[in-house]
Amino acid sequence: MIDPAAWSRRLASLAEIAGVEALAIVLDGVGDVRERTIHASHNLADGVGSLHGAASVALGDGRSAGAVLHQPIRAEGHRIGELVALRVDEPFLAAEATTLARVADLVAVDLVASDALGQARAEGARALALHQLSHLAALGTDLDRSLDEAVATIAALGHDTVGVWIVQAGGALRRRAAHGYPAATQVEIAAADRDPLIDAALRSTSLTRAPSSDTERPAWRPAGDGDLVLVPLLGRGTTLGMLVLARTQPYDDADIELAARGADYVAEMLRRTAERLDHSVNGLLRRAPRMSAVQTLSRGEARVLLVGATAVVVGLLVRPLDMLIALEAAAVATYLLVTYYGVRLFRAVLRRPAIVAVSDEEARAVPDDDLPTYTVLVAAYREAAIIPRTIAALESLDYPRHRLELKLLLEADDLETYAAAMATPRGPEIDIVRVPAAEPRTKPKACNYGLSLSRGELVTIFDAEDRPDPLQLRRAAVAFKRLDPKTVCLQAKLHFHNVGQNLLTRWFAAEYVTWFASVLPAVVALGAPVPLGGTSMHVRRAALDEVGGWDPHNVTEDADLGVRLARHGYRTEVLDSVTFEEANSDFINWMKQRSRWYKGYLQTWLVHMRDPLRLWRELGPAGFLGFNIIVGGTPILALANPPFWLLTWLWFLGRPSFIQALFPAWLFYPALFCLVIGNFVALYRGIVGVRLGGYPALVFVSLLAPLYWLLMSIAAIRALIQLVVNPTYWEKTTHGLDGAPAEGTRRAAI
Amino acid sequence: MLRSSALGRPVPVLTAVALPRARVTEGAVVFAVALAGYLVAASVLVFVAETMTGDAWSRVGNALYVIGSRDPHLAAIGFVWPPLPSILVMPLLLVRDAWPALVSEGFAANLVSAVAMAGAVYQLRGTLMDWAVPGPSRIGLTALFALHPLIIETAANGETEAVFVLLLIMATRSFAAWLRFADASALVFAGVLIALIYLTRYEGLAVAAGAVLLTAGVTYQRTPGDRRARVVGASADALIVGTPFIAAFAAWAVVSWIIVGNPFETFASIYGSSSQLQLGAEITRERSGQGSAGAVSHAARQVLGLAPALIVLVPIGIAVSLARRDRRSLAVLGLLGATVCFSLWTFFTGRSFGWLRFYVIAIPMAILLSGLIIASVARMRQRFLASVLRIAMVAIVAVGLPAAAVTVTDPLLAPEEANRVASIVTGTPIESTPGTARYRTGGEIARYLDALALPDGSVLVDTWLGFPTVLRSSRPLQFVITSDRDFSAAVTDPSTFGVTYLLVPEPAYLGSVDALNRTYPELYSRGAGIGTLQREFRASTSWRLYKVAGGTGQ
Repeated sequence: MIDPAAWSRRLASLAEIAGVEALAIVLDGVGDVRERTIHASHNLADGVGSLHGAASVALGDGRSAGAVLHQPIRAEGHRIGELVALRVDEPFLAAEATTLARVADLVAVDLVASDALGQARAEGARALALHQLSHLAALGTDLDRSLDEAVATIAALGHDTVGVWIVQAGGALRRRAAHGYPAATQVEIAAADRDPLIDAALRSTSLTRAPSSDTERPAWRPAGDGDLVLVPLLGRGTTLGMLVLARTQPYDDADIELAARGADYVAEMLRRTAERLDHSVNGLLRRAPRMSAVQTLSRGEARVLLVGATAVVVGLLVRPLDMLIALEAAAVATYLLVTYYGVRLFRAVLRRPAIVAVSDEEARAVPDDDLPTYTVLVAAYREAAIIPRTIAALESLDYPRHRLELKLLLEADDLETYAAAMATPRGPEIDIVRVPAAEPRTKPKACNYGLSLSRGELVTIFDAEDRPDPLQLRRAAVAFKRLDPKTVCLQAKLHFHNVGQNLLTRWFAAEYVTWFASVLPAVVALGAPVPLGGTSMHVRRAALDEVGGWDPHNVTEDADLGVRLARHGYRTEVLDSVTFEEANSDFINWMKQRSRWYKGYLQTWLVHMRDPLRLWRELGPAGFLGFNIIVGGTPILALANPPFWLLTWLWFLGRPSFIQALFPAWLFYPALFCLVIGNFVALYRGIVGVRLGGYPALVFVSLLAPLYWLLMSIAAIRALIQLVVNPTYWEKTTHGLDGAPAEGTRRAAI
Repeated sequence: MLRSSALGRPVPVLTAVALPRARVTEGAVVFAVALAGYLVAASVLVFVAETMTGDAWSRVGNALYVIGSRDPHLAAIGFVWPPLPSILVMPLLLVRDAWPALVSEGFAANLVSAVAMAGAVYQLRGTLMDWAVPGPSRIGLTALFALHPLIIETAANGETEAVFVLLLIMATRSFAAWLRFADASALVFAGVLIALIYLTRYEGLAVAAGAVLLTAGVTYQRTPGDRRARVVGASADALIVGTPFIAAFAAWAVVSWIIVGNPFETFASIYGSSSQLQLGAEITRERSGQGSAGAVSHAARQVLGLAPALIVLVPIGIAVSLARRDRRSLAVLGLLGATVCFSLWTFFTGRSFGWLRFYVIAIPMAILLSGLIIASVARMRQRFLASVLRIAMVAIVAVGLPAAAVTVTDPLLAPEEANRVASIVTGTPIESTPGTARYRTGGEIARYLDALALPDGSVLVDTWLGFPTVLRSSRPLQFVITSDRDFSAAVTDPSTFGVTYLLVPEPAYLGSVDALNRTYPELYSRGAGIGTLQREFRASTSWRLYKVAGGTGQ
C-alpha cells in the first residue's frame, strides 16, 4: 500500500538534497487510470493538473514556485512517470537536470521496491481489464471469441488464479478454461443446494462437491486450499449463465466485488447477443405478425382451403365429370389471365423500359467523404472451400474503407468456415460475425443479426460465391442520391460466370439474362412489386428498418422484402451493374435451389394474401395483379402444367374419348388458345430476351426451354411437399462446383 | 425519338411507332377516303353487277360452317386454305340475320377486303412518312397506289390479296425500321406479321424465307467481332424473325394433321390446288403458253403491265441504296420482290394458274421503291436536281397507270379480273362468267329447296361446288355438308342416315371431284340405284336433285 506520509517525508529529504523547494512524482496513467501524483514535500494547492504547463505552481503554504523542471522517471526500461522539481526564487540551471536525473533514478528504485508501481499497475490493469470487458460487451460480433477474451482478461487479473470459467445457461454447456491452466482441477467443494445451473457450472469446471460441515463458510469452496467464487450472470429476469473463479488464496471482498463487476460485463455480452438473436428471429413477427411466414397459413386461409378442398372432394364423389370440368375451367381462366399478362409483359419488354444507369466516371467522381456509409452483409454457411474467394471479391470493392462495413456472417457452429475465414488474410474492415445457432437456420435470420450490428445508411447483401462489379456500391450510392426518396431499393443485375459449363447452366443463364435485362424492368414499368434477387439488392437502411427487416421464416426473403417494400409505398428500380454468380451446374443441386425458390414464392404469396383487400389498397390494381401473377402464378402454374401437358400428349397420341368428354367446346377452344399462344409467347419472350440482353449464343438453348419448364414443374412439386412438411427448411445449395480454383484472385471480365 | 432513364441517359426507341401529332389527321383522312371509295366499288361489284368472286364467297362459306351450320365446330374452317381470312370474316357473320347479304352474296368477304385495302393505303402512307418522303410526293404516291385499277379491284372483290397486301406492307415497314435502327422490337413485329402472312396466303413461305435469309445476312455483316460471333448473332436474329412463322407453320400443320389426318392438306388434298391445277392445266397452258418460252413473255407482260415503272425503279433503287449505304431497299426487294419471284416460279413450274392478281405485290413494290429513291435524294445539295428527280419518280409511276388499266382489262393477261373490272366500271353483270352463273343457279336451287320446308339434315351436298346453294339458302341447317363430322357416314349410306335428297353437280371438270360423284359415279346420269331424279337445274354447270329411294326421311 502506498503510504502518502512516508513518501512525503522521503521526497522532502530528496528535495533538500537536490536543493529545490518541492518535489512531486507524477505516475503515468495506465489504461483508464489517469496519472496519479504522490505528493511531495509540500501539498500542491491545485492538484496534479497544476503541474502541467503552468508558469508557476502554487504551493500549499502560500508560496508560489516560479521555476518548474520535469524529469522523466524510468524503471524496467520504460518511462513510468515524471519527477517535477519546484523552486520559488531562482530559475533552474542546465546542469541541475543531471542532478535531478539521479534523484529520479533513486525515486525509481524506491517506487519499484515499495510496489507502489505494482499497485498502480494493478489498479491500472484492473481498470484496463474492466474497460476491455466493456468494449467486448459492446462489440457483439463474435460471442465465442468475446467470451474467450473475457476469460483471458479476467484470468490475467489476479495472482494464483487456478481457473476462470464462463458457463452459459440453456442448450450446450460451454467450458472455458483459462489460458494456460489445466482444464481438470483436483479441487473439492462442499455441497449445499441443488441448483442445476450451479451443478452444471461445477461439472464443467471439473470441480467436485465435498460434504461440508462448516456452515459459516460459503457453501461452495474448494476442498483443501483454495477458494471459489460463483457469480450468476443475470439477464432481464433470467439467469444467462455463471462466472466461476477459482484460486489457491481466499478471495476477499474487493476481489469478489471485482469479479461481480466483470460478471456484469459478461452478462451484458450474453444478454445483448440473446437480444439480438431474439430480434433477428422475432422482430418482424412482433412488429407485423400478419406479415410473418412463421405460420404458412393464416386462420382465414386455412378455412378457405378447407372449405375448398371439401367442396372439391364432395364434388368428385357426387358428380365427378362436372367437378373436373369446373376445376379445368378455373385453371383455364387462370391460364388466360396469365397469358394476357404475359403478352402485356412482352410488349413492355419490347418498349425497352429504362433502367438506372450510372457511368464509371460518374461513379468515381464523388469524393470519398461525400459518400454515405455502406453495410455489406455476406452470409455463408459451410462454404469453407470458397471463403477465400469471397474475401477476395469483397476486398475488390471500390469504396472508401472508412465508409464501409463488411460483415461476413457465419453460423457459430460452422467451425470449418470460421477457420478458413480466419486463415485468409484480410483487411480490418471485414468483420467476422458468428451468429449463434438458433432455429430457423436461414440466411435472412443471419442477415437480420448482421444488420443489428451495423450502422451504414445503405445496406446490401452478397452471396459467398458472388463476384460483384467493383463499382457497384458507388453506383448505387450515386443513384440513391439522385433518385427521389421514394425509391429505396435498387436491384443490380445478376449473371453467371460459368454460363457455358453445361446445358443446365445455359438454361439458367438464359433465364437470368431474360429476367434481369428485360423482364424485371418491364415489371417495374407495369407497376408490379419487384421480387428481389437475394443478392446485390441495395436498400436504404431507414426503409429497411421501417418495414421490419427480413423475414427469417421465409426461404425467399428477398421476394418477400420486395413485396413488403411495395406495400409501404416504396419503389424499386433496376441498377445497371452486374454481379456474377455461380450457376448451378449439378442437376440435384439446381433442383434443391429451385424447390426452395418455389416454396418461398408460395410462402410469400400466402403471407401477403392474408388480407387481400388491404393488399389491393396498398399495391394498387396493377401491383395486385402483377403480384398474384408473378409471385403466386409462377409456382402454381408450374404445378398445374404437368397434368395439362399430359392430357395434351394423350390427346395427340390417341385421342381417347374421355378427353373429349372432359373438354366441352366452350372450354376446349380457350384451353387450346392458352396452350398455343401462352406457350409461344413464353418461348418467344425467352428468345427475344436473350437477344435484347446481349447474349445471342443462348438463343438456341432457349428453343429447348419447354424441357427446362418440365424441370421447373418437378421442382414445384417438391416445393409443395416441403411447404407442407417443413416450410422454413433452407435446403443449402452447394457452391464451388464451377471448377475454379478456391484460392486466387481470378475475376470474371465484367 | 429518345427516351431517357431516370438519370438522363438516352435509350433509343423505335421511331416508326412515334408519329408527330399533326400528321395523324392526314393518315386518318387518307384511310377514310380510301375506305369510302373501296366500299363503293365493292358494293357496285356485288349488288349492282352481281359478280361474286368464287374463292372469296367460298371462304365466307367456311366461316359460316364454323358458326352457323348443322354441326358448328372450329375445324369446319377447313384446312385446305390458310385460316386467317375466314377468321376475319367470322365476326361479321354474327350479324348475318340482320343483313343476309353478308352470306347470300358473300359481302362479308368484300367488306373485309375493302377495309384491309384501305388499311394498306394507310400503312403505305405511313411507310412513306417513316422514310421522310416530302408531303406532295407522299400524297401523290399514295394516290397512285390507291387508284391503281388492280388495287381497286382487289379491294372490291373480297379475295385474300387485300389482307395479304396490308400485312406485307406492314411487315416491310417494320423490317425496314429494323434494317435502319437495328432495334430488336421491330424485328419482333416483322416476325409476328410474317407468321400472320403465312396464315393468310401460302406465299408467306417466300416472305418468311426472304426475311430469314436477309436478316441472317444483314446481321452477319453488321455484327462486330470474329466469324463465330457473327454467325451466332445472325442465327439469333434469324430465329427471332422466323420463330413466329415456324410456330404458325407447325401449329397449322399439327392442327390439320389432327383434324384431317394430313399435315399438308393444302398440297395433297383432293380439294387442294394440286387437283385444281391438274384440271385446269390445259386451259392455262393454252392461254398462257405455260411450259414454254412463251410463258416468260406472258408473265413478264403481266408483271410489267401492272407496274411498268419497275424496269426503271429496280436498278435505280439498287444503285441509290448502294450509294447511300441504305439497307431499306433490301426490305422492299427482299420481301416484296421475293413474293413476286415466288409467284413467277410457281407459274413457270406449273404449280399455279398465273392469275394476274398473284402479281399485285408488284404495285406497292414500285410505289415503295419510288418513295425510297425520293427519300434518298431528298437531302441532296442540289435542290433543283432533287426536285426534278422527285417529280420524275412520281411521274414514272403515274405513267404506268394507263398501262395497268389496259393490262387489267386484257382477257388474256387477266382472265378473272377483266370481267370484274368491267363490271365495276360499267355497273352491269357480265353474263358469261362462271361467277354469275353460279350465283344464279345457286339461288334457283336454294329457293326451290327452301320452299319445300325440309327438316334439318335433309339434303346432302358437297360444298366444294355446292356452296352457292347453301349460302343463298335461308335455311342452311337443312343441308348436310362436307364439314359436318357425319358427312362421310351420310355419303356412304344416305338412306340409313336419314337424308331425303342428294344434290349433285354435273361430273365434268371440277364437278368430278364432288364427293357424291366420286362415291357414286353413276349418280348424276342414272341415280346409281339409290335415288330418283326429282328435279334438274340447267346451267353452264347443271345440277340434279335426287330423292333418296327407300329413305325413311328421318
